[in-house]
Amino acid sequence: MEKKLKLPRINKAGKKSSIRAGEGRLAFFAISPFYFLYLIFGIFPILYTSYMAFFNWDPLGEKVFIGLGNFVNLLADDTLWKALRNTLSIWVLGTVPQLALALYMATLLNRTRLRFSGFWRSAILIPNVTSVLAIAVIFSSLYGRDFGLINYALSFFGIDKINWMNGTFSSHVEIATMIIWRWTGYNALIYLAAMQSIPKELYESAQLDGANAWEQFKFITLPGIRNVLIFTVTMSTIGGLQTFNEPYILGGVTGGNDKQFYTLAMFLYEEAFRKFQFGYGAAIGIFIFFCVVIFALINATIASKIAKD
Amino acid sequence: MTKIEAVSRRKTNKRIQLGSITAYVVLAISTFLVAFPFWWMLVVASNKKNEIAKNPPRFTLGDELGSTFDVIFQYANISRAILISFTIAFTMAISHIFFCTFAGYAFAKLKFKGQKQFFAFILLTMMIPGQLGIIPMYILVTRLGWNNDLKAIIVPGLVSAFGVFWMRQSISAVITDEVIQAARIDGASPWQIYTKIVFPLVRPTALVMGLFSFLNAWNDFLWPMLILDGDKLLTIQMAIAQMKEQAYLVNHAAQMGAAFFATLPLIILFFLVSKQLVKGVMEGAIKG
Amino acid sequence: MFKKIRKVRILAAFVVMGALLAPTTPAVAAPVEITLSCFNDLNLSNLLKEWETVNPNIKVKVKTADFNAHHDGLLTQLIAGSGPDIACVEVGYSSRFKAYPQLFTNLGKTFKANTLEKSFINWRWEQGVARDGTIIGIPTDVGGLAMCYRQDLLKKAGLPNERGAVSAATSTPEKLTAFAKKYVAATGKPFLDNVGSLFEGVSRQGADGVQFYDKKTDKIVEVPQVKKAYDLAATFASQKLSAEIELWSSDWNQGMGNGAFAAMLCPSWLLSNIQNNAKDIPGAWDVAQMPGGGANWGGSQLVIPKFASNPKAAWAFISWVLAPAQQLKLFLDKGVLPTTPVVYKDPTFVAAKNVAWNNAPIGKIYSEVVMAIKKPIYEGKYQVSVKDAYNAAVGRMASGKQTPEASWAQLMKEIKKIKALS
Repeated sequence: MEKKLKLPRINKAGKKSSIRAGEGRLAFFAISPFYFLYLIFGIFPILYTSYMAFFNWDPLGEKVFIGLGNFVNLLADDTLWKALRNTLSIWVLGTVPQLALALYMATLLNRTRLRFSGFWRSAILIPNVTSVLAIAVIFSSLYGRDFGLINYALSFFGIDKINWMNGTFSSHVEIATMIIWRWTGYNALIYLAAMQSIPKELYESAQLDGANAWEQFKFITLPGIRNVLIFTVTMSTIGGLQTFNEPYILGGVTGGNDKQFYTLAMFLYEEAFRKFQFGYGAAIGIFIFFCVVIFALINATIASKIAKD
Repeated sequence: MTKIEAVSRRKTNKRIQLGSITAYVVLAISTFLVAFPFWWMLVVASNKKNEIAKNPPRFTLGDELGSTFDVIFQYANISRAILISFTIAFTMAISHIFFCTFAGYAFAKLKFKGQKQFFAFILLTMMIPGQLGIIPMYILVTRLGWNNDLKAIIVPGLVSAFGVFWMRQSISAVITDEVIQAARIDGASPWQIYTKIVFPLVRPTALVMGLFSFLNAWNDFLWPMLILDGDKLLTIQMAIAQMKEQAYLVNHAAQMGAAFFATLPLIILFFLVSKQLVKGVMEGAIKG
Repeated sequence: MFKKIRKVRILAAFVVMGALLAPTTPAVAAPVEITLSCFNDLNLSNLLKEWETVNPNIKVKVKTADFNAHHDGLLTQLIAGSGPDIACVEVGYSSRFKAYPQLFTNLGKTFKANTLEKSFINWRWEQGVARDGTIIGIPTDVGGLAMCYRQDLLKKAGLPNERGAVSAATSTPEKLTAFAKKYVAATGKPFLDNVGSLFEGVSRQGADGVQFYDKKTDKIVEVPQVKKAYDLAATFASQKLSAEIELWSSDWNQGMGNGAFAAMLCPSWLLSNIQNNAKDIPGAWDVAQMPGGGANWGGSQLVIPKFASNPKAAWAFISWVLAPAQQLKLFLDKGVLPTTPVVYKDPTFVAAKNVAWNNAPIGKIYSEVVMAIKKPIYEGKYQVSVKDAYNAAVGRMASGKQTPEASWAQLMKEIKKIKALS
């Protein structure tokens, strides 16, 4: 829309364009503080780091331009692919059940005649309110090999002690359960907020028509929260592919003696901050970016298919 | 009501009842799962090491809570840390509610040149890992002289791409074009439309977004650790981490005690605020 | 009335003159606050209280963070041109920081630190000196390595449990293995806590101070001692002589008190932790020499970053707190092993016996270990990454994930990658 400044005229056409001009100005004010700050603190660091990816960049020493060298080496590095597999595995184990669980919890909390609804709704958000450090200590103690409660409980089923963080799948499970515990409530609340805007009459008339709970969910709830569903799936993909805190705190910076829980973000951190290879680390960052874009697109498409009208 | 309708009504009622019981059971289990780690925190904080070491470990509270708290207060400034974390998180939440809703409105309802591109750009930048930007951010912040200053944490966090994205989503969903058109016909300026119509309608969602911003800021661990000196200025995460160190050691009881103590005010605050939030969410639903 | 004012004026003039003519006393130094950033509080709580009386104008604030996060964070700060007044750098990380002496205050040039050199153990001193001779850091403590053992459990198993006898019976890797086997056969329980620390300790016993890096060429090398240590760890793991409990885990802490293992390698700074965890069984733990005599594990240097705001105040504190008198106090108070050998001759040091340690003369034992070490391990730029790779290899092998040979092969591949870094 052209921002032509026209004097307000009485006729309809004139009023429209001056309104548009006013809108344009307001839009400018609305987004410029955001963009200004974002440019400095969001975009500049990213551009700078992308620039670093074309160099052999020792932060305390020399910078040597090597063109695409980092990227070539990276794609041939089997650590990268291991990290990618780990990240995806943890993501699937941690995020998919979590979102499903969050959806389920939201439907429960959305019930019309739920007693103590305020209490339940607040309770599920508590895990997100606690310190990651403290929770990690508790989870590692719960998953301890010799004295952990989980192995103790499993022993009643005749299962031998599992060395959780030592194995590949088992370490992913430990990390995933921590992520699920922490983030389900968060997503449940988002779904709940969306569900609240679906008119109750739809459910009532469906019930009278004889639809059961599952059918109501499939044909009313899901399409009703379609946008939010796509949104949460996208956000979880972005966050999930960048998982760092949970495995780092649970298992340490090296990601396990066989890098069994080494994620892409941990790979970036180790290369950049512990091996001084900032250029290589930046290249990893760009790789993560592409992964996120691809998977976000895939997942968003899946989500929108699930929730189609 | 015909007999057939009555029968189907009774069947539906039964289904609802069974559903209710399941619902309460599931909610109770999840509350237990949520609460158990906190109980465990208290147990670890209040017991001697060897009590926990047994197999099965002791599940009940011991008597060491008092001495654990002594250790905590000796080693870290918990109350100051909570105050600082709260200041940071609260400022960011308010700022996000203000700026992100406004920007989200612009993307959702106003028309301007390059709108789609600007928005896509924001989305793309969210997909870049955070660790990438830390070094340049640190250099930038140091050049500005903001070392060991809360400004270094708050200013970069005044806006959030996530918040803009979310508010745009919800404004598109909740506010119809007709509502805006009606307001325009009534002679309202775009600013008035925003303040008098749009914002009140999306306030509940904005509050929820603000809450999440608060939580993100509260849990941020790496960045404040780099910036703040850990003595006059420190966040609650830093305070808990400080509990860890006694000659390469881990004092579990003190850590757990500190973590519990640090979370308690948040939980209390949260329960107080949640009633408002729930109300707000409900209101939004009726109006929308 | 006028007279009075005149009098006052004259009086005032005298006062002013007096003030102007009075000899200027040195201005009281404005109180200064310095930050000491470390991964633990260096056990300084009592010394800090004493410092307040010694020099009340310089206030020291200690800031702690997780071990890895502290070092990584320090690096980030240095890159960006800032940093605390004093930082501690653990010897395992010192190689990384020593590679860039330009980031630190040159203690030799600025504060004549080189005069202190002779007061310190020579190889500990070397760990704070960069390759080009710049003195970057002053040693704090030293982690002499010995072997702690449960003398009560050994006795029950029918094995010798007196310090000298145990040291003699475990003086070589082969003897240690045989000893451990006897224990396991007698009790059915593991002997050692884990093989990782065994590997770490034994791999440091190379005759010329070479572990992973060659001192002359500054390149990563493979030496027989390291392979020997690896093989010893493999033997222990395959014959199940160790409990394979992870270091620093809660299982490990508890194991010290509940007999999950009967022996562990213990640097001097671990003693108080063991004591804490074994509070219910005083006197059960004792200390003997580790196989091969001894090695060093741990200890830090205090450095002053180039961008510190108060380097003079920082130096005043450092030179005080690391002086022999204070190091002795720290030892008697918290068992921290000093790096100033003159302390080792002090009668209180020699006589210090620890009841909780079956009356072992801890100071004497550890100082002998330390003084027997002639050369420090030379640590190169990527020391941390190389060490991580070796430890991971030991871990894979010990947990049964891979055979020792397969694990070693994978390790060599990873070392090759690190070698390719500049």
